[in-house]
Amino acid sequence: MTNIFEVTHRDAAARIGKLSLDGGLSTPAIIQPWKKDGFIVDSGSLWGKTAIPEKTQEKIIILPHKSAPLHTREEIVKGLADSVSSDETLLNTDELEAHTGLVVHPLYQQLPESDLYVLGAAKQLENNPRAFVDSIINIRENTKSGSILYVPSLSKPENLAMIVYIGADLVDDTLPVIKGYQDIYLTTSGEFHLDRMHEFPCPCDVCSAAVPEKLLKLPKKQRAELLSRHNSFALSSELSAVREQVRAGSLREYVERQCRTRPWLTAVLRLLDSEYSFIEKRTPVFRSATLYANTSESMNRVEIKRFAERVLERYTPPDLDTLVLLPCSAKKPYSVSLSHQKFINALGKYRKFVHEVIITSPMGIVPRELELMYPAAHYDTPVTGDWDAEERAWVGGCLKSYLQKNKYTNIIAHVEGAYREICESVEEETGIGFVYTVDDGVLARTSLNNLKDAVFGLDNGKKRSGDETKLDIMRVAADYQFGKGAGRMLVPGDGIVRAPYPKYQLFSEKKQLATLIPQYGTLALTIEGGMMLRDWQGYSVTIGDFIPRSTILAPGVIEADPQIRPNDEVIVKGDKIFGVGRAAMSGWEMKESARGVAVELRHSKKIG
Amino acid sequence: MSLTTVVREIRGRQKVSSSPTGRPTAVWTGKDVLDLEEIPAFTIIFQTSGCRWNNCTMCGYVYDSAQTPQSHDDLMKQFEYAMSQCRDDEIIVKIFTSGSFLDDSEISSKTRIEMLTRLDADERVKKVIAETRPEYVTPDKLSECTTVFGKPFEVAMGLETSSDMIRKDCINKGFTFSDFTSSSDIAKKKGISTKAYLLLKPPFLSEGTAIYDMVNSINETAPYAGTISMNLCNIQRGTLVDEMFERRDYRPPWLWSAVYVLEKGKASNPDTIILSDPVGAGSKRGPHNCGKCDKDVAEAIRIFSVTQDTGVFSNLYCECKELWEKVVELEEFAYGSYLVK
Repeated sequence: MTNIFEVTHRDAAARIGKLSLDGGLSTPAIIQPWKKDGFIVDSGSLWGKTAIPEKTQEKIIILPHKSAPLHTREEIVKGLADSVSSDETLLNTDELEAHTGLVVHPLYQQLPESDLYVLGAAKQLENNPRAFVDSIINIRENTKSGSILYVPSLSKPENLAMIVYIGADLVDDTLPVIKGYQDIYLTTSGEFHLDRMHEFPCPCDVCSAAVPEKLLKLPKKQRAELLSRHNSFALSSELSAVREQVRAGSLREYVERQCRTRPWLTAVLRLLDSEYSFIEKRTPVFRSATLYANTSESMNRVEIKRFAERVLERYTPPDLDTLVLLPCSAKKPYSVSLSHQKFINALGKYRKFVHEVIITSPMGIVPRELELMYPAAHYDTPVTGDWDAEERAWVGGCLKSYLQKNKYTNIIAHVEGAYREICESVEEETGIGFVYTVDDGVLARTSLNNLKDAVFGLDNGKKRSGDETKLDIMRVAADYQFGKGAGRMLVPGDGIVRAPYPKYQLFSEKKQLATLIPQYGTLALTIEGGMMLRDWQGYSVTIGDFIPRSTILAPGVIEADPQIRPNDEVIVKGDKIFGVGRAAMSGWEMKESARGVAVELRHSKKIG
Repeated sequence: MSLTTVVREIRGRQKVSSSPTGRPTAVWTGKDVLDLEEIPAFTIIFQTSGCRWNNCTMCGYVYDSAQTPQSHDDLMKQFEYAMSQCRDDEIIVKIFTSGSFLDDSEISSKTRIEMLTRLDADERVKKVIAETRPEYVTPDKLSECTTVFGKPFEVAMGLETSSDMIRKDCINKGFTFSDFTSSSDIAKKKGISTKAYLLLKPPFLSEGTAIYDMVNSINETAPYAGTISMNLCNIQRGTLVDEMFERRDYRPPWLWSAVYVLEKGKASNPDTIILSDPVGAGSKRGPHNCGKCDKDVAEAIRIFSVTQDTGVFSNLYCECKELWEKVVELEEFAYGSYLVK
C-alpha cells in the first residue's frame, strides 16, 4: 500500500482524485487494463496466461486472480480465493514493490489492504440494485478511503453518473465497445438499435459524418468500429459531464434525473438513500450549488435529513410562550420575501413575544433563527400547491417531533391549504391545539388582520429583545454546527452582534469571535472565537508537533472528531499552534488518509 | 473439496425417473475415421450403476444410469438389444457407460469379457473404443480385454484439460494430468491406443481463457493420445453448470471458439486426429454463435472431424465473428461475468 492516490474533490460518495503515476491520471477515469502500456495492468487469470510486467514502478498491477461470477456459491468463491492466496507461484509478488490491485468478488469479499480493488463480475450488477449497492458500500466501508475502486465492464453512458455517484474511481469502455459490435447505439438516455434509428443525436465525428441508414450499409467490421467509437465517445463525454457535476456540487441533482433512464438505477438511488450513514459521513455540510428538490427522492437527501435531525437534536428554541407557524416563500432567506415582510409587519411590536417557525417542503420545519443555514436558504422546489402523501407525512412528522419536544403555550398557524392540513393532522396526533389565522389566502388583509389579532395582547408574556435575537442567531448557528451547548460557550454574556443582517459579526470586548457567512449561514470563527471553544469536545482536529502553513495535510492529523464533515468549521489543536479552519474532508477520513488536504487553516497562533 | 460438496448437494436435489432395464441408455450411429477412411461409428451407452466418481461440475450423465446395480444378464440383454440395432457392414463400436467401462463396480469382469468376446467374433466390428476414467486403466484390466479382443482397441479418457488447476478448480475431476499420461503409457505398452476428451469452456473461464486452455491442452495431450475429441461444454440438467446457467453465471462456448481451437490445434499437431461433435449446437444450452450461422458452423465442425481438413473453415463467415473476436479480447476483463449471451 503506497500513497499514489489523492482525493481532491468530494461530493458525498463521489470523488475526483489524482493518481500520481507517470504524469498523473485524474479520476474518475476510463481505463483499458487490456493495454499493457496503461497505468493499470492486469496480470491475468491464473487459469490462463498470467504475466506480471517487468517495469512495475509506474503501474498498478492487478494481481493474478481466479474470478467467479456473481451468483457463485460462497464456499466455491472462498475455495478459489484460498487457492489463490496459497498459490506458491504468487509468493514472489510481495517482492514486486509494485502498486497492486485485487479482484474482489461482489458478494463474498476478502479485503486485505491494497492500492486498488477491482469489483469482480460487476457486469452482472446491472439490474441488480441491491447487490450493486451492497457490494460497493462494503468495499468502501472496509477499505481505506485512499484506495482506488475499479468497477469493470458495467459502464454505459446511461449509468455512469450512478457508478461515479456511489464512489467508483475507475471504469472502462468494455460495454460501449461490445455494444458497438452488437449494432447498439448508446446515449445517456439509453440504448438504441441502429436499424431502428433515423438520426444521430450526437456531434461526435462518427455521428456527424453519417446517418444511421448509411452506417447500416457498411461492412460489419467497419460499422462496428465506428459504432464502438461513438459509444466510447459518448461514455467519455458523459464522464466529463459527471466530473463537472462533482466539482459543482450538483451531482445529486444530476443523478436524480439520470437514474430515470432505467428502473434499476432509480432503485439504486433509493437503496443508497436508505444507506444513510454511508452517504452522510461523506456529505459536505454545505455546497455552493442550489439544492433542487425536484423529485420524490429529494426528500431523502442527506442535506434534508441532516437539517431535520439537527433541528431536533441540536436546536434550542428561545424561551417564549407563543409559536407562530408560517408558510415558506420562494425567495430565500424567507424573511426578505414579500410575504414574510407582510407577516412580520402584521406581528408588529408583538414580534418580540413570538417564536417564528416556517413550514416547508422538503425541509420540514425551519426555525427563523436557522433560515440562513444551508440548505434552508439554498433550495428550490416545484410549487404547485399540491403536496403528495410522502411530503405531507415527512413535513408533518418533522413538526410533530418538534412540538413533542418543545412546548409552547400558544400555537398560531398562519397557513392555508396543504400547510393547514398538515397542521390539522399534527393537532390531531399530538392533541396540541392550534389557532388558525388564514381566511382567504395568507396575504389577504383579513388573514393578516387575524394574525395581528392573535398576537395582540401578548405583551405580558415572555419576550426577546432585538439584540438577544441576533445573539440567538449566532448561538443556534454554533449549536447547529458544533453541537448543542457550543453556542452558550461561544457567545459570552457581553457578546454583541454588529453589522447589518445577514452579515452578522459577533464581538466581545471589541474582539471579534465569529462571522456569519451569509452565503451558507454558517459561522466562521476567529482565533478568539476558537479559543472560546477550546474546551469544547467536538469538531476539533489534533495535529502533531509542527507549525502548519495554510493547509493541514491528512498525514499530519493525529486525532479528528469523526463527526466532522467536509466544509465543517473546525478547531485545530497542536503542540505548537492553535487555529481555526475549514475541513476539506470528513474527520474519519483525515485519520485514515495518507494524502490530501485535511483542513484549510484560516487563522492560527503559536502557543507553548 | 468444496466443489464436491456443492455438486453432491445439487445431485441430491434431483428427481430421477427410472428408465426400463434391459435397454441401453442410448444407441446411435455416427461417423468416425479409421485408417484415414470414414466409417460408421456405432455408439452404445450402457445403463450401469453409473460413475463412481460422479463429482464433475458439468456432467449430468449420472441421471442416465440405473437406480440399481445391473446384473450380468441385464447388461448382456442391453448388449444384445444394442447390437440388434446395427445396420452397417463395417463399424467401429464406441462403448460408454456414463462412467467407466473398466470399472468392475459398473461392469464386472465376466460381463466385460463376454461383451468383448462377442465383439471380437462379430466381423462387422473393426475397432472398439471404450470410455473410462484413468484410474481403471491398469495392466491387469487391459490384459483382460486384449486376451479376448484381438482387434484394435482404444481407451477413451475424459482428460478435459491438460491444466491441473482448471481440472481441479472448474471441473472437479479428481485426477491429474500425470494420472492420464501414466494410463496412456500403460495402454501403449499393451498395444492399446488412447483417445482424450477435452472440454472447451468449463465453468468460470472467460471465452479467451477457455480458448487458450484448449490450444495448450491439445498441444500437451497430443503426445499421449492419437485422437483428441473436444467436447463443447453444454448445459446438462442437474449439474453445477446448469445451476450457473440458470443464474446467468455461465454461457456455453461460441462455435467460433471451437473452430479457432480446431484450426490451431490441427496446424500444430497435423498427425493427431482432432475432432469435435458439437452437441446441442445453436441452442442456448449448447455451444452457439448468433443464431444465424450456428447450423453452418456446426456442420463445418462435423465435416472437419471426419475429413481433418481445416479448409472447411476458411470460407465460414458471419457478422457475429467480429463480435466474438471482441468478446475473446475483452471478456477476461469482466472478471467473472460473460459479456454477450
